[in-house]
Amino acid sequence: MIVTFTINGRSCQIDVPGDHRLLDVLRVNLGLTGTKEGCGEGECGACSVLLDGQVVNACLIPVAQVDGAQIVTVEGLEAAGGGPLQEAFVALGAAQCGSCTPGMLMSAYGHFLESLRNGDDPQDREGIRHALAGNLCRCTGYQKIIDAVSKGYEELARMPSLPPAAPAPQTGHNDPSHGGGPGHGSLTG
Amino acid sequence: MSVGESVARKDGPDKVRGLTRYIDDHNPAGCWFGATVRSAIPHGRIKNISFPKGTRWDRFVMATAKAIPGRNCVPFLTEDLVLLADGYVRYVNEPILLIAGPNHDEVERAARAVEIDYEPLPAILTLDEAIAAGTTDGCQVPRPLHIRRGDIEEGFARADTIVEGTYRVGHQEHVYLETNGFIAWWEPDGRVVVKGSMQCPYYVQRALKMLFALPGEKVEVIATPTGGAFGGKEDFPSVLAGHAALLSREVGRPVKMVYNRTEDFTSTTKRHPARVHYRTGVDKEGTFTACSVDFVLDGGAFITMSPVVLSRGVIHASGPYHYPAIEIHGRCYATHTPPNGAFRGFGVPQVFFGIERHVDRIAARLGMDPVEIRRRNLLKPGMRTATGQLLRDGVSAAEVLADAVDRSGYRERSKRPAPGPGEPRRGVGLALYMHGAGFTGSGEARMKSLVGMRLTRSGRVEILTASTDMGQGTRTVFPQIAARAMNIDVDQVFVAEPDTARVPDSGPTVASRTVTIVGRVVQQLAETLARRILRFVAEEQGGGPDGYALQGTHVLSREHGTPVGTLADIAARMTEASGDVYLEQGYTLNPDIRWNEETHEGDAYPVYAWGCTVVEVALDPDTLEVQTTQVTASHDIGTVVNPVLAEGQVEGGVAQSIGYGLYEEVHWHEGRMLNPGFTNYVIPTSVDLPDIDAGFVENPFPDGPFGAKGLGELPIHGAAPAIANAIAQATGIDVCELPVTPERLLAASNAAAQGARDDRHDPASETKKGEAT
Ligand code: FES
Ligand code: FES
Repeated sequence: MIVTFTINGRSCQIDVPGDHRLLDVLRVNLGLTGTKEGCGEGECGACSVLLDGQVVNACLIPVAQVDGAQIVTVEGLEAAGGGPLQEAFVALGAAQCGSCTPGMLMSAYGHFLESLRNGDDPQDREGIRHALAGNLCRCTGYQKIIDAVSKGYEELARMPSLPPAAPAPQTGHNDPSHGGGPGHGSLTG
Repeated sequence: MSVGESVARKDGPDKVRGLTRYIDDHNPAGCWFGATVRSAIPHGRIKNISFPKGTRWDRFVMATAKAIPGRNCVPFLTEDLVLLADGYVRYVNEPILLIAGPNHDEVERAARAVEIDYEPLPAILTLDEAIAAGTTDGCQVPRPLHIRRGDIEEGFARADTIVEGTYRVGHQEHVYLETNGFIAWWEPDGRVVVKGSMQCPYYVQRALKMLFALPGEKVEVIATPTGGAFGGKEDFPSVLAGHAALLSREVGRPVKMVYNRTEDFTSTTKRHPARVHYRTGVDKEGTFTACSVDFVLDGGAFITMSPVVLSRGVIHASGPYHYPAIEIHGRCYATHTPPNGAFRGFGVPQVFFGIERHVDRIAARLGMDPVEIRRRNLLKPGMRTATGQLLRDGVSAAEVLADAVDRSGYRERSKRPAPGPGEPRRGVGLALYMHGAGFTGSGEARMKSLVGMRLTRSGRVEILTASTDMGQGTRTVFPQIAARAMNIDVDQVFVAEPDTARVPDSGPTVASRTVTIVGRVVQQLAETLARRILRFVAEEQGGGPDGYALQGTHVLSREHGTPVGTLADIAARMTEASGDVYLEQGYTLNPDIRWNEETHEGDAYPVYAWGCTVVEVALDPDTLEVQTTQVTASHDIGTVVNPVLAEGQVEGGVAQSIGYGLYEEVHWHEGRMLNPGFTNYVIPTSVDLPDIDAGFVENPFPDGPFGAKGLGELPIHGAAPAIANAIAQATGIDVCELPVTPERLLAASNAAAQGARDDRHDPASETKKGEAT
């Protein structure tokens, strides 16, 4: 089936069986390999992406479900406003092997957006722990991740205008770095 | 001055942008996918392999052991492990046949369609069965090890009390978040190239040389950024690389094999299950007079790494304590289960669960404080370890104990008032431990780890090493060491991709040896390179090399304090004048180190690192669920090269140890893992862990780079025994087996109640002097 969605601000049309996992479409068809597969069963969070501003496990989503949706992956996180989280992860040593990092960042940013929507304080440390409970990390003991998320939120809160819940579509041509996969998807600007 | 600074990890920016390319992120053009057909039974002969109708078998390419051009052997310390079972299987999921095709899902389906008939043979599936049987038919075991020091009979005769206990631990899975994966291809010139996730490129090269009967120059191994390893990518990658390379040879195209989580769980190595028995004599003051240790491991179906896991366990089995007399006996049994392999700690977490539980139980018997009994018996400079190693400086057992006890508030916490009804019971426990850095004995002298260093034309310093970065930070700390040695900016230094065609053999990335052993060579090379640059400048500009100094990105004249040129300009002229500026050097082990492998006597390690972990737990009286509520750790790893990275190692190690202590358990049925997924093999999540306070005591090691010792494994030793000790303190329930699940707690508490009734079955039997045990 033909599925049309927005990925990291670009619209994208792709012809694949509708039951293909969003994770494979991202990684293989679109060459967006930043999103990782840790289990393929919805248990580790390595494949977390934002789907219309909500955190989902891309390994559980059939691509048919994303028709018309806006998706943000780690490659688009900076443009979507999550740069301060990425910087804090580097500065505070929250990424070790890095396998969980993209998913962790997407969950952390999703939690921030959700807290804004609900009028909650994103900084609550227990709240952060709960928001990340679906993202397994085997390297860090979560200590530096939680520290970095907290610092990233501080920076985000300082930003003059709060980021949009989902990124506005951008104009521009295909970024060649996104075209690495042998897939048959097309990105249109 | 970049040693001691928390330089941000060099691979961080790519990792947070999703740009780091792990093995599964590569899809070479025309690549086929490989899958593995595995044994369905734990032990037996293969009668027939058939390919039933319903699959277009002509669309796939297959390989069995017959296709291996060299020897069907993946060599480690011994040469017993086969790449593919050849007519005979020794564990469930042993690889038998490989299959490749252009579409990943179709290959997986085809692999499942293959039918194999077996003639089953009796199987030995647990350590207890193996001990009862004596040996396993069809499997080999490493030789037993014995350490003996002092007059053991006299030591026990002198004891006022003798305490005995048996402690058990099961398998632990590594759960690196990136599963094992490789891509292999053959070049037209007959070279095989494999690329994948690994710790030890030269181990993989050695295996491929043997499997394909090729010389080293025909085997290129490239380590991609590795998404966690913890020892699990020390041994197993040699197998998977062999599979991918064999299939690629048959297919004539690149072949990619990346395990899914289930396959990685069921088919790769795990931590060795173990049983350790302690019998300790102690006098009235609480001083140990003698100790007898019996340490038994389950090696699985092949020997692989077991001899060294056993050796390391045996050497550490005395713990950080002094005994006038000690005997330690270690044996490894074979079972028809997947071979157990390297896992962070390497035989040592098993014995530390035993010893640190046991010491607390001795203290309880004597009515002594757990801190005090440790203080009385811990190793100090000038004492000898169980192997007879004379400890000179750098012994910090007392310091880390004091530091962890102070910072954790252990004293106040252990005097908490009893909880009200329904309230969680809180307890605090500690564990004291050490870990020998580098290979055992003269291993580092034999290894002679090589490192290369190049001054590039643009004035940057390239470190060429086979040490990989699996998240622990090699690519950041090596540049810090070199930058400090040369007094240049850390940004001027970078680490080359570990590719055996380019980097020399620095040995494997294991045994907490990367910083203290390989890093030492990095330091020495950097010092040599700095001298060479200054000599060149002196020749150009006049005067002696001492008149110049490197600083940041420049060379300065010492006299005037002014720059005489940039490193970039000078490097360009140096390469112009003398070609490639490349140095290579090996590691020299301190010649005073003496080791007898036969008797396990002498200097077991160049240096020990020391640690103490204090854990507070809260136990729900109704569900018996245990939550860790506070962790304080103190470690002496010598000079801390990068505090943030070092804390990260400690926090991660503590988390894995908490998993080992409370959650992680492999369930088996007839040799098959029943819980190969995250739903039922539970590792700690962010809500299961408390904040972890990771502190350091810096006691520099003169032979390490700027005083650094090893760190990677040390922090995994403490939390599991500390948890069990905390539970005992909170509840009086003596748990002697990991993980401490609610079921096990209930069983232990029932057993204790039963024991109190008939006063016979306490697992820590106590005997007065002269009584039989
Ligand atoms: S890969 Fe999707 S949750 Fe693990
Ligand atoms: S950094 Fe390795 S799994 Fe999180």
